[in-house]
Amino acid sequence: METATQKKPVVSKPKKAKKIKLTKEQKRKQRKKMAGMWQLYFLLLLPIIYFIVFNYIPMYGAQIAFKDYLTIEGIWGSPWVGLKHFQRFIDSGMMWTLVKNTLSISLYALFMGLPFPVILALLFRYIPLKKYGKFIQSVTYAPHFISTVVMAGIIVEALNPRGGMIDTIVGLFGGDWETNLMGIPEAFSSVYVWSGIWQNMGFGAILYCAVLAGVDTTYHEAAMVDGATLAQRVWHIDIPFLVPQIVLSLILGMGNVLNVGFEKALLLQNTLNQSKSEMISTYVYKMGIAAALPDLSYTTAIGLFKSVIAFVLVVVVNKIARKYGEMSIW
Amino acid sequence: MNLKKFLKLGATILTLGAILTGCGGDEGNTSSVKEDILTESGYPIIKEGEEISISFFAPLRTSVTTYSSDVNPTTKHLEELTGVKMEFIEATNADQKQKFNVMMTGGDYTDVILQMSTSLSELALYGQQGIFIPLEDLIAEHAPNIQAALDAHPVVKNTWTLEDGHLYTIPRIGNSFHSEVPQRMWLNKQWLDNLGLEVPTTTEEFYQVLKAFKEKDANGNGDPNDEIPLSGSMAGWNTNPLPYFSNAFIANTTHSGYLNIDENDKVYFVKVTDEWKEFLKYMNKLYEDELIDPLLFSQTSDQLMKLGSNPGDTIMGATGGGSVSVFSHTTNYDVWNQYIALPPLTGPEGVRSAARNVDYGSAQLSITNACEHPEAVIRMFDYMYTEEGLLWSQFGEIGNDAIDIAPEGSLNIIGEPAKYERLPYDHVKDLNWNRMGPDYRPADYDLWFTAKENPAQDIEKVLYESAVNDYLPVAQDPSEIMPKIAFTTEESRIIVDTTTNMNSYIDQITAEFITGKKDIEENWSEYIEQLNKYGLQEYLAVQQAGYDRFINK
Repeated sequence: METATQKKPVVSKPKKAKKIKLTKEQKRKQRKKMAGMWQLYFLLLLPIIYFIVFNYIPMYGAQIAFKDYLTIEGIWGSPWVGLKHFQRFIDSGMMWTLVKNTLSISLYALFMGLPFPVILALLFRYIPLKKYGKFIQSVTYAPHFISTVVMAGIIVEALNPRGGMIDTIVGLFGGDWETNLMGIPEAFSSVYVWSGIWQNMGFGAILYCAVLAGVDTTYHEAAMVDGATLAQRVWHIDIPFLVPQIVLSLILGMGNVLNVGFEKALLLQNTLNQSKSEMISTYVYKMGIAAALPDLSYTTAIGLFKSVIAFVLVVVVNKIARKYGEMSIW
Repeated sequence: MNLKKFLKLGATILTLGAILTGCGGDEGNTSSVKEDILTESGYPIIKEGEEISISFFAPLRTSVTTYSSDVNPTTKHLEELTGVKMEFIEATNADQKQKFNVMMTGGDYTDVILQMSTSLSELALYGQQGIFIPLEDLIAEHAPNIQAALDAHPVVKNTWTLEDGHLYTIPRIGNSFHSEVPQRMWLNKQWLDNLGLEVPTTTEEFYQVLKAFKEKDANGNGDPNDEIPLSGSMAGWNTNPLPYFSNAFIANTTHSGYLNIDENDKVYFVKVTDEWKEFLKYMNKLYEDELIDPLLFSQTSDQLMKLGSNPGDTIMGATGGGSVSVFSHTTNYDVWNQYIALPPLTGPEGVRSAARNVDYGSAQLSITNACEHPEAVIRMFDYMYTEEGLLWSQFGEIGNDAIDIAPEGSLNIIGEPAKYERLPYDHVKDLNWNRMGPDYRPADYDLWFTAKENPAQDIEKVLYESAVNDYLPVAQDPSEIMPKIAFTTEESRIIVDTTTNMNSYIDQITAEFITGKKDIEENWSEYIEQLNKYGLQEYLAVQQAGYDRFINK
């Protein structure tokens, strides 16, 4: 699907398109052209409504971060309190732990998660048993559709040192697995990330498979004629084609970096690993919705604080990507 | 799109949002004067030919799948009795709190809130806003049974009456004796007999018993290594064994948040005392000798159940638990009959206590300002404060799978004639409300029912005797326990903030102290320091201020 545009992997883009002032006549022409394609604009309406309803209207509620929200007064009527709730979060002694845990787990997940789908996609591309290729691919992406609750249950049971999967396997070789991974705070991020990689690697590979399918075979034929080995072909032809997609995934992933799979973290939490598994999102949940005394203003403030960090991260990564990778989302 | 247009669009969207959300608000204040459709008193509540419908928020209880009157006989009975149509917004046990919070903060709440065990802070928060309406006058006027129960239990009544003099809830009153001292230790008597050991009475003897469980082949299957001496779970009905042991070092209870009152009326936090430190050291010794299940701190209540009901050989020596049901099905006599409810142990300093869950009642019904007929609700639930109503709520119709009239001549657990017979109905659903909402258990409640023919199979008898003979006599003196008191919203915020942060830290570090990851002596001052950083002193100051108000009242 991307064959035509992807012909040349590394395109040197014009630095900045000059803004051209349109004349009245040109503008009129443009409008006419737009009217001619009204069906397309009509289709666009749906996502726009979606974003208005789910992303813009809720922003109106974000003001309660600066208020003491009371049900009876509503969002608009609750009294303003300035930055009180932000101050409270900073003073609570939890802020740094939360930010540190959130960032370390999500960055770990983001960077560890990048290479595996790529490797898997390359394997699919070059697997000799074409007949089983589709089957293997289905098997690898099936775990993606396991719901988070079930997934967390599987992880906890698999790691159970008393009769869990690992224990059973080690037992087959006469050993006894006694390490309780769920009880070691330092192990939490690895359990979280690697189970995530296992679950999503196959699904992530689909995207890269599509890119690889679009690579013009003439490149490979030419390389083979010149005597390139398989490794050289992968390195010099496939990888450059994949890079823009990888960078894009990275930037998009960065935007979600602070939204680490909240349900999964919550479900895998226990008393022992809490010092490393408590994240902004789980904390917001505990103080806001699940709290003994719900405090929406406070948790909205924390949420807003999180959004600001996420925004900064996206901008920074985008900048870096544009500078070094010549690839960016804006 | 240029910037100007973008801003314009943004402004439009914001206004639109304001309009849309603005609509949801002020619709609650409907203090109606339509009370003339109600009868003067008694049942039915609604006059012939009239019809009213009331909405209830109600979490589902075990063995109840719905409260809808099509299915649930108790609802049907109540509707027929009162003439009121009941509509339920149901929530599962797991997400009831979240649903409730979302509903209450969103502003679109039901007429009546049931079974939420609302805290005093919540009552104050919603009461002050006018969302929950005061009930004391309505009760006095329309609910003789509720009034009588409250008058008979002044502690309950005073506890739930807030600073402003209002009662925003109808408390559930009365509990079984064993619920007052629910932190029990279950010890495998069979194993003691196998090894020829006495029932331990001190912490030191208990240590020796566990050691014997560990080293010898206590279950007699030839393998000395498959016994797990002491287990439990942090998530389960009193399955955490720590409160049982800590009461051999210092009297305390989790129900007061580990706050005790000393002889000078000062509030103090048990978990920073030297006695608590000694308790941690004792637990650490057990752990170091591998007497405690390494999964204690991370396993779920299901995992504990699996461990306790291990098919084949019994592999668990002891566990904490409110009843044997936390590690075995109550019909599985062969398993749980091996265990005894171990009486409280005496610590090295001679302390012997049991955690007391003082019965303040619990807030199980509130009426919101959305309700048009509060009087009807009050009269309806007045029924639940009668013996008949309680039986309907808890068991359903007499003669069903859960309850029957006691056969002629049958006796209760203390050998007196019984009134009713409880039947095991694990497999049957939707017979009743399983005690959802407020009700009243009088003091002789435990004695209404027949005892099982084989006393060894009667878990209620076991629990009753253990509570009355062993636990209650040594349970912590109520005057030493921080009472349940009302705080202002501002104070409540401080309490919730601090406890949320502090408790997760304490849970974690307690586990680390016990498992030996952190040395208790070495890290003790750091622990206290950290707690102060989370606001322990401010928290105690708030509690002290509240307590001073309470005793001067």
